[in-house]
Amino acid sequence: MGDQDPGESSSSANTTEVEEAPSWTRWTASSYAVVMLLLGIPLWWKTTTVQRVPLPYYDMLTLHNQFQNELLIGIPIQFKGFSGVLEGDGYQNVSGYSFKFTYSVMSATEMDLVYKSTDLYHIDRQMCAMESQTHNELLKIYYVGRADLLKEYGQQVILGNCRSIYYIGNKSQIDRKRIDKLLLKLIGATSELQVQDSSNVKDSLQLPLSAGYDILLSLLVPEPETLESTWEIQRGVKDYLDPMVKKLSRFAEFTVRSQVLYYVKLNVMPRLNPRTGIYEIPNEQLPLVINPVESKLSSFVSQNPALNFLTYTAPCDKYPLQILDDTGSGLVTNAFLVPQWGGIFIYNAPCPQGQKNESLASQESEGNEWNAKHEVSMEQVMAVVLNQFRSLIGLSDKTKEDGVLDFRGSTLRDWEVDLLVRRRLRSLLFTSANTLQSLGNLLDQITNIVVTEKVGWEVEKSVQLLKEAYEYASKGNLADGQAYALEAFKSSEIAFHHPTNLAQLYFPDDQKYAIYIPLFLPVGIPVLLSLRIIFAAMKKGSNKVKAD
Amino acid sequence: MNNCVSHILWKMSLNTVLLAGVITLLVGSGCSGQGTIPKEFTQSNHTNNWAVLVDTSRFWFNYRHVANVLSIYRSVKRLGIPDSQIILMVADDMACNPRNPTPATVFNNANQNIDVYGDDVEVDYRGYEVTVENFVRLLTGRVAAGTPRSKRLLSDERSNILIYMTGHGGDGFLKFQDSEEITNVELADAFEQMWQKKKYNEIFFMVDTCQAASMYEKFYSPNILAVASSLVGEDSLSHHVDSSIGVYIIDRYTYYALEFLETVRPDSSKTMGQFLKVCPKWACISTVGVRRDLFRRDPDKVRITDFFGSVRKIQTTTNVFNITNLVSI
Amino acid sequence: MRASTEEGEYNDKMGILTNPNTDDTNRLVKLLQGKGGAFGLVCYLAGIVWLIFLANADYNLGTYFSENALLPGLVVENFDGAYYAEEFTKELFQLDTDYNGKIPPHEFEAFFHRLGLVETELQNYTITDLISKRKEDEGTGTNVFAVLRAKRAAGTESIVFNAPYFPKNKQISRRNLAGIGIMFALADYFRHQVYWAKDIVFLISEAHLGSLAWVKGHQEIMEDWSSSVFRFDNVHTKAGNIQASVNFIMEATDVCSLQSKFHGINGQLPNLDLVNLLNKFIVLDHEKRPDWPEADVKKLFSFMQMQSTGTPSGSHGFFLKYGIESVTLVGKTSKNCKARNPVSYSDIGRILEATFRSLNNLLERLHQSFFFYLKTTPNRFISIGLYFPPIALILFPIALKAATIWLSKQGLNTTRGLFTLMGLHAHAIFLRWVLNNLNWILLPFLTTAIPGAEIRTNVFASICGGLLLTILSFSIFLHWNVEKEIREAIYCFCLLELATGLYCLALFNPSLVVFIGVVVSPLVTFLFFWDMPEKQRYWAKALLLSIFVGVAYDWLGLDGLIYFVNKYYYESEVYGNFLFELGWIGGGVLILGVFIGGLI
Repeated sequence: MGDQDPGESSSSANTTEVEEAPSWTRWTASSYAVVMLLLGIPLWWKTTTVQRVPLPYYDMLTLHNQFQNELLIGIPIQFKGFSGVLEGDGYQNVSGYSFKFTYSVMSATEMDLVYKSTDLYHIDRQMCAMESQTHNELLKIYYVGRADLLKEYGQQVILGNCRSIYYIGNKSQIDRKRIDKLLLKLIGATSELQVQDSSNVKDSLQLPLSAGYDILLSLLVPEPETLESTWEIQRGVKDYLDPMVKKLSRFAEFTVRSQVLYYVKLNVMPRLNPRTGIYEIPNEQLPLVINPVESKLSSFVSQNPALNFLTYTAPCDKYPLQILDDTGSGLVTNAFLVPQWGGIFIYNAPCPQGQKNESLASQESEGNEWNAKHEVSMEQVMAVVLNQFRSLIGLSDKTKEDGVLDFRGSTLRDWEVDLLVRRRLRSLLFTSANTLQSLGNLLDQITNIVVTEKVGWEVEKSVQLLKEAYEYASKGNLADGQAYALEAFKSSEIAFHHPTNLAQLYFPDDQKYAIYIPLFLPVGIPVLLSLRIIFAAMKKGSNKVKAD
Repeated sequence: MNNCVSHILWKMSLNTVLLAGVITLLVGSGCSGQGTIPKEFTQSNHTNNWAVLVDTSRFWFNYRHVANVLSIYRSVKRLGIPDSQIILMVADDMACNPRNPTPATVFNNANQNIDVYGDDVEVDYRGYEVTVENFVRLLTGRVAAGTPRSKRLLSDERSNILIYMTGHGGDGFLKFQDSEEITNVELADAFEQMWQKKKYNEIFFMVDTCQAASMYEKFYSPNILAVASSLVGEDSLSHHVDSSIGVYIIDRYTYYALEFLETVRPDSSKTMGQFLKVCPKWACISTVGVRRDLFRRDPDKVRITDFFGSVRKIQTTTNVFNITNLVSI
Repeated sequence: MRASTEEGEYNDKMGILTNPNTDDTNRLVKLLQGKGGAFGLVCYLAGIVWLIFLANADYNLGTYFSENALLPGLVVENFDGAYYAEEFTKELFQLDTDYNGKIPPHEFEAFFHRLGLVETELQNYTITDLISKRKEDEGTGTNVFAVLRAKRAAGTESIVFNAPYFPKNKQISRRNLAGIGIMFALADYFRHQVYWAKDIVFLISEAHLGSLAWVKGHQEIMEDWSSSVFRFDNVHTKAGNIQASVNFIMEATDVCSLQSKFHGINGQLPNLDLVNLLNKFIVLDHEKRPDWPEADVKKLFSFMQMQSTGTPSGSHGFFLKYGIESVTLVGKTSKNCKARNPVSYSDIGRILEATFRSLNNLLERLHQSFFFYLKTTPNRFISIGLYFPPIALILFPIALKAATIWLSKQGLNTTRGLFTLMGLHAHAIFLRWVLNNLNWILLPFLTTAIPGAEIRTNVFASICGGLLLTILSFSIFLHWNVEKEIREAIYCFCLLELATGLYCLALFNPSLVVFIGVVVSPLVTFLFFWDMPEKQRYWAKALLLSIFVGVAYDWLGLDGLIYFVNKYYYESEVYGNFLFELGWIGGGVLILGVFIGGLI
């Protein structure tokens, strides 16, 4: 009995102890497992996923194609005083624009103006005055059936300085061919119909898209100790450039600045032509002129693209200085421009004779002023600047053109500004849609990029505004269309270029494992193993219960 | 008889005139200036050139990397790209380093012929500003508001961009400033972002580091031509020591590349194909790697000035306004 | 049986995550008890053989530079002031004769001013005699130094060029006047260069202790344990953060070989890059590449000898102590050196110039290369990764024995054992304290103990007395109440502590541990015969102890012992060379404990 009892009691002690002991340990192990699997892993997953706000991907990816296929900017034209109508549906689509024709009769005042004025210029001036009073933005074609004008101009359609177009003929029926030519001029196309997208290199030389531009007028005086040039730039700008810039304010904001730079020489080596006594700059040297001088022009803090107009007064030892064109003959205008950068004009200021070779000392001792002074003619400068400016913003630089009335009173025609605005509107719509499409493609491709709420908001705004701008553009409402398109453009640029859009650091997969394994494995394996033991123990316990 | 003779004479003179005309045409077309491109070159689509030159390493013993990047800067400037279109990132100041026995100079050759630092160098990102984040922001355009123009890459879809990077690298990464790295995947993504935003027409990517070829392995955007100074598993070696300054002064690949570029002038007709072969194995000891499958044109038909130079297109002004006609309204 | 099942169940309850098996432990113990001794012996012998083999060039590493910034040897040296060096040396010799062997510091200062270095300062220091502690026995000295500021740098870092001056009454016949002369010439040359990125301090310290005074003064370590015996002025002219220092000693005006010395205090060594740097220029600029033999056990042994004493081989030891990497360039002379080709001053100057140019390139403190190594020839070294395994093997039997005892004796009375061990330590501390305060405790008793003997003899006598006291008190204490378990506990814990202490010590001063381990390891493990009858065991150990003491006494002699003790006492007091003391005395106490465990 004594021998048996301890054995039995010990065995029963065994079983009870094995069952009772691990219960609290079982609970601890399971609680670890619960925390890790149900709390830890989801938390880790949530905090390591890339934050992305939902975006209207469908719109972003399809707007561009939609614009490309369907965008037609409406241009309403009214025919006044004609007897018949054009055949067709009352509209004509020409490479992205849609001309909408309406017809009406001329009013009494208009009749008076047309038939009682002296010449076409007079008509035009009065029409312009009337338009500026009524702020009418409609393009109007007037039938001018005057014999004297017919004799002067022949059968032509002539664009005026504002939004009036004069159809000079003897029949009040509308000639289709002439209208077609007119429509092309109105949208600034050349004789062949060209699709206005940016696959053409020439088009890409237009001004880059921006809300505003800076104009910098610089006078370069290379040797102020012999010839000091000055200019009355404020007057020149006020008289000539400001009106143009004001007219362009519908198109973009231009800020005008000016400066005078001393001791800056152009990087040219002119050759003296013995026959004419003129220093000539060969055409090949012209492209190399700009780079050295550009660093001397100040660069502002502003983000706007700049147009530089340089006036270079020739130094006295190289007077007179002339540019040769590509055929080798002298260029009368003495000016050239660089698309998207600006223009240079070489101004020959008369050097006083006999002072070329005298030394400074002798000049000073004579008690004279030791250099000559010259006042640069603003008229000459502005003549060149205005022309170059027109070219740079994308208008034709011909002063006399077929079918267009000569400039009287301004260097910019209203319908030309309309043309620019329409082009820009088109450009804005396409660029914004393209930006959104790029953003959509990008976010698809690179999954590491964070999309914050701000970006999401900008994208939504941009999409919304684009749709509305599209509506306005189709109807031909340029002002609203441009405003909305500009806002959409700004939003799309902000969204695409937002500084938070940076892709997160890229980790190769093996590095990711190398980081997570030491974190999770030491915690995970014991927990999982103990889970296994718990399950085994539970099974054994249930088995034991079953057995009992 | 007379008629025959005169007829023959007439024919002969006609032939002579025709021949002369043909010859003149041929000669004329051959002798024309920059405007016409010989038939063997493919037409390029670009209208402007940009260059992004990056030196990523600091400390005095990495003098050669600064000399590398400044030499390329000089060449590119000489061939016509203006400072406003060059972004130069230099991570440390060697010219003003107190250990420099010739202060304010940086040389790329032991004979100290050219001071590549000069007095008109324009460094856009300097010192600690050269970071991976700033570099990627520069390329993708996502710079912080208020960044000045000189620190932005304002290229458009007609720009050809030359990107040159030098420093210490490894398999799949490039070391920035001794404390961080940019991986080839990040670089490829940055280029893709540039492509999506139409910020380049073509890119020529040059990299001179150890195991440089790994940097272009992951590119997937079109129109990129890449050259690297060594393949994966190889080190790029430096060329020679300047024993008066006491540092390795330039790397082999850049040395031979510069030797080639010194012979290029703005109107040169050397090709990119020639440039890609510029450092054979006996000279560079490492093998130069090239990636051309993403590039649409044949490099043997592409001018070297398409990437290294920049010539502006000009238009002469033929008319001016008659000011007297203008009366302000 | 029941006990084991209980233990087994207890272990089961220990945790769900572990499940030890008691059967395995029993097997292990049996194995250890049976084969452990032999295994330990094999390890010990293998460790020694391995260490010897490491001296062979096939089994160690060639030197290389780890710090990229150093760029050693890339720049061409342009020092051309050898003529000035000779002139300055002649002037210094003249001054030396004029002032009868002790050139006053203001002369050195005047020299510096002549060279154009105007930022100079003098620093005084005093050291009291450790035994007598009498004012009359105080030694004094003055350091002179000048700072050359970097012209274009911010001066946040600096390098020190130290050429110590040994005046005549310091009993060193070589006074390093040529070294100071060359330093002046270099100072003049350096002043005219624009490429310094760090300040350079030109220091003329008086004797080796002067460097210690200067470093402590510059780093403003005013109060530490040696302040009672070693006092110095504050240094007001501060250079930047000191990155490295180069010391320079010329044993005569004509030297035929150059040597670099780098052993620091307690076996500390400078960064290997610095040593390799100096060696590179010595070999490059001066020596034709000598014929270094493939296996250099002798060189390794002499290195280890030097390192184990913990005594620095030059002023660099003091710089090293405060975290400034430092080496000494020594120009050694020999008989008829003048007749043979002595090393030109030009070459020496260029070696130093090249070293300084390289150090100038540094951007951070030297940290890339090894701090723990053993050096054989100038172009090879043994890194800690290579030498530590054999040392670990040599010490392994001690740990193995301790483990065997712990595992095989269940129910080891740990508390009594621990208390005994603490008692042993208390005795060691008491001993140390006695030594510290020797003069006012023991002197009155001991001056008359051995009449006519010098004070130093009394030191030895007092130490012996102290040791004897310890042993006796222990014996008395342990004579009562001695159980086998306590003895075993003491033995086990002493072994453990010995093993731990020696392993830790091996990290700092491997040479010392090798020497201690080679002696102690077999002593405490193999020569302890549990199974002998008690009386025999007693006599065996008594015999061994007396042999040990006898050999030591015969070998060193009384004077030797006195010198030994005095030297290390002085060194530990003044600049903290305590590892030797720790190693031998500390180890000795523990060994004593071991023997006590067996003696009684």
